[in-house]
Amino acid sequence: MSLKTIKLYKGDGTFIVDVTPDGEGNFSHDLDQGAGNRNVKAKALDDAGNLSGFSPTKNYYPGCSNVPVISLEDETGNEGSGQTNTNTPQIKISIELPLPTGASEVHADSVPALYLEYRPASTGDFTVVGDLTDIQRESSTKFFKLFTCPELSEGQNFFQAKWKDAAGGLSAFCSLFQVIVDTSVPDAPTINLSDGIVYVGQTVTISGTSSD
Amino acid sequence: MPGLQRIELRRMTGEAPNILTDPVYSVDFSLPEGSYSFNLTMNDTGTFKFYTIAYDVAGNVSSVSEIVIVKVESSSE
Repeated sequence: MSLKTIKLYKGDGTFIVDVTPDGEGNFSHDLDQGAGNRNVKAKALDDAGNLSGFSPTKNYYPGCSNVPVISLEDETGNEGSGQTNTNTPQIKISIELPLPTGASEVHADSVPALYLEYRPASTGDFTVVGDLTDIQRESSTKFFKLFTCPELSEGQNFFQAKWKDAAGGLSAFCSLFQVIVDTSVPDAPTINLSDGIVYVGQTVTISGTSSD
Repeated sequence: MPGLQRIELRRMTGEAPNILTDPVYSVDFSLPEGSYSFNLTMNDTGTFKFYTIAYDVAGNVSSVSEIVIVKVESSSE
């Protein structure tokens, strides 16, 4: 006996399509169920007309339009300032994907790479870093990659990233993310003292100036 | 994008300034045009040494200022 037909169904049992397997029982079919939460399962039909039970259901989410988010790991200024005092800071590129109904986590193969580029000014050409692989999982739905920047320019630097999906498709770019590099230290303050000898309870004033 | 964030007044506790261990006596965040001012009411007798350091908005820290010395004496002396 050999397999004659693979019958594909939606998770609710609605028939989708018949697919003909090769001589070894393998099959492939481009299934377009539209965007959103989707699922599929299959039955096998042999030459004698015997029909198997259902395979396990596969849950998936095609057509996701999510884009990555970039953050600055080596932020030394105020939180959210994008300021750092190193010219080779580490940034984090994250992507959160929708959890398919019935799945416990987004499959790791969903994020094979994150694509990154940057430019050392508010205008001009981007330098392509390219695909960053070895993506790590942060949660059931979130993935990230830490990236240590090449030597950045003093001042403004801009980054943008795309998510590459399992089929090699690229998302839209995320919003430009700004990193402000300031590696110069402030001048040592000048210092003045109003009175070097005082009695207990008296007040002295210490003053001066400094500049960055 | 430079800019000062704060000036710290430190009390020197050893033979030389040590910004890792010397206590922060006061902090000035206002810094109009980079100037600062601390008013200290001295409640204990003794000799106290102070210096200041500056931080910019990116977290860089300056070298220390010169050291000033305040001698506080009892009013009965």
